[in-house]
Amino acid sequence: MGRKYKIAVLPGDGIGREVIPEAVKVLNEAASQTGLKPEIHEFECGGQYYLKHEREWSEEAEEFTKNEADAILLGGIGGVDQSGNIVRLPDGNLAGYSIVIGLRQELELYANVRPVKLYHGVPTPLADKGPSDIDMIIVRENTEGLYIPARGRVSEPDRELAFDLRLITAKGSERVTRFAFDLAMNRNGAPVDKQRRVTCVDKSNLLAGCKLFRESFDRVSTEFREVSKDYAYVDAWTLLVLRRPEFYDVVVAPNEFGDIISDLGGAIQGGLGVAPSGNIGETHGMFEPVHGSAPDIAGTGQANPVAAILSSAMMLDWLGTKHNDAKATQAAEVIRCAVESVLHEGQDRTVDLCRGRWQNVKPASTQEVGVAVVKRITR
Amino acid sequence: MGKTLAEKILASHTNDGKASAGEIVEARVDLLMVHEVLGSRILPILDEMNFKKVWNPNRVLVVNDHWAPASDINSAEIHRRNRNFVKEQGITNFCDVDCGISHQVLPERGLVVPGALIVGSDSHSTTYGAFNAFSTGLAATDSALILATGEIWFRVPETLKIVVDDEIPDRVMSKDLILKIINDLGPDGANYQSMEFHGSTIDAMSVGERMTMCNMTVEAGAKCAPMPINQDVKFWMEDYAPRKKWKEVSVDADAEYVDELRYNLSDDPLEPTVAPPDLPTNGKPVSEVAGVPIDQAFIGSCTNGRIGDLLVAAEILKGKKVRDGVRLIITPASKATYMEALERGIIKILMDAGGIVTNSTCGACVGGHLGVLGAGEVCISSTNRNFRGRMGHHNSRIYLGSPATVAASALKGVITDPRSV
Repeated sequence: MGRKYKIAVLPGDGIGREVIPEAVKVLNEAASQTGLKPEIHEFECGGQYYLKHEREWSEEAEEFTKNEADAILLGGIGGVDQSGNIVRLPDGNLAGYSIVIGLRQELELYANVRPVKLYHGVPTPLADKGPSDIDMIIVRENTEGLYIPARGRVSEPDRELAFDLRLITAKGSERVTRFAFDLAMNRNGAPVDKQRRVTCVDKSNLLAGCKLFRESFDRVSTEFREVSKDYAYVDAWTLLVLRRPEFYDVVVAPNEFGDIISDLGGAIQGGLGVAPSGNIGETHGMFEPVHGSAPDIAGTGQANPVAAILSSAMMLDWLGTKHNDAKATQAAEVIRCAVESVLHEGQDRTVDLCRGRWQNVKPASTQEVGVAVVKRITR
Repeated sequence: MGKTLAEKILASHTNDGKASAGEIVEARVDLLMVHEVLGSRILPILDEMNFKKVWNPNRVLVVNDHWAPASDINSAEIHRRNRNFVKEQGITNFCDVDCGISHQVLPERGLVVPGALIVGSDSHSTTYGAFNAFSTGLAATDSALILATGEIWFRVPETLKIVVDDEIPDRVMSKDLILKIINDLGPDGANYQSMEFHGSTIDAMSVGERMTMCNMTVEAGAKCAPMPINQDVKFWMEDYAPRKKWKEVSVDADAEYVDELRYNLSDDPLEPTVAPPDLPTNGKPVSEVAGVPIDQAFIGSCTNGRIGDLLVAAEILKGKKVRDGVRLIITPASKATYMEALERGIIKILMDAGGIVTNSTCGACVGGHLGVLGAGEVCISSTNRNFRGRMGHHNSRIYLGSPATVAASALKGVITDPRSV
């Protein structure tokens, strides 16, 4: 008998409602292949839900997600009302904020993990670079830094100003850098030289918080002598990664810099349609495609489900490691292999990937890609 | 004021002939050794530098040793780039995947002589100190600069004097001595210092035994480890570099040292020493770790894969069998070592005992191939580093010891005092 996992599935708004069903289909198929028994508990949440119920999600959903779920699979948050405006809470925040941002704080999901891997069959904007050059993971601190809700605005007749407080703690920095080093120990090193490497991306030549972040990084690094230490200032890193992505293995950064550079990562791996992510803490893990609810393409069937499907694989991987469960790890591998083959074969792809060598491929719908991945697993 | 070996050798490579501890000097390098770091990291730097021609194609040694022969596509590509570079630049000293480990093949080719200044792209380049040379490891950017100019700057290191007298007992090896010394120093106890060994014990050592000592000084942070010359080094020069001119560098009696350590092995006899995970400086007498069950026993690497090491292992293993469930892997330090061991019947003894003999490569020591460890596995190893994950899975555990201790442990299936078998 395999272990039973309770999975809170929160499709949310927009294309979240289109890609998550595909991910769940794939997840169930991979689970039945490996004998894993996931228990899917799906709840509505976000902007659309708020319009109807004046809550971001039901009490039941909140209770289950926070206290019962073994893992959380999230689609995208951000609904639009009938006149096309983003649905907001009275405080001005996006409706769904307490789910997508709030859970990071409440469940202490301190590591935002963004694999940047170029699959065969996905076009990258970098000329001369291929799948053997792009395979890194960006770990972004997810609970502090510039995004803590300590901000303000002064509006007076003769002056108008706004400020944001950036708070970085030794504890917060140490746990996320330790997470990054642990991750590096489980990987095979950077593509260029097979050396396990963690790069600390910061602005420690200027900012006090970044100095502390780098000090914490240095302290933690002494526990991992087999991992090579590397540093880059964030402005320089954006240039370096475009020139030599193959040098990077694991990259760790404070919150706001991590936010920015991980989108750069998303671009070089072929776009947000193939970019999964995890928000991981000591006890909880929430997994979501990076793209969000994408209101502009919601309802068109163009959304690429690959990011959501790969996010579900990340979720299984995390469950497998956490519970020492080979079946979960195996199911994750089954999903990744299936996605890899579908991308490599090249025929079943959404419009965002019909570029370059694949520009003449007839774009498939979200569902068709989901079905193709499921078929690949059954085959 | 007199000069240490490090000061004297560096001084002889500067324009004004001067080098005192603490000064920054520019020095001409006699030889640069580069391995896979060339193909992976130095070449992109050379591209950015607009590099055209190596400063002297006769003073560079390129070695493909870490994953030899290539273990996967990445290493194959690195090797291919190295071969192309050697061809393009007309480099005369090239050891491809059939030669062995850089730190062994460099002396075998007669490329180190007493008094030389040698830089390698590998951290264990301190090894050539055994030959009365100043040698050290530098990273990719510095190596790229040397390839282009033949010169590099140094801060002249302070020197730590270490005097060891009297005899090393039977089945105790120079590996045990260096594990003990670096345990006394700690992982940064000799940071950026030159470790200068003296005394009758060092003088009586074979070249191989001396190389083991100098090899591991970097684990205490040392910059280099030039030793005074001895008889065995002179013999080596006659055998391996008969046509080279060289002059022994001796230390001044009034040289200035930052500190001095003394070991008298008759007052305080040397024990077989084992360094438990996860630091090479964790060394303790074998009696304190004896009985720890092992999955793998590894003899090899630039530290202890030489003929003397294989011979000791063969003496212990002759006519016996490795314990069931234990993998004994032997990786000779070079092809020449392998061939000599073959001719002397050592390989047969090792294989009869159940050992697996691989081609010469860094291989298992760097977790590359030919003996990588799985989750939770324990290895007793004659190599130089037991950092977490070094030889494979991050939950595997490495105990460092001498080839004698490794061989004895392979027989018993647990860490064993080699004097007891």
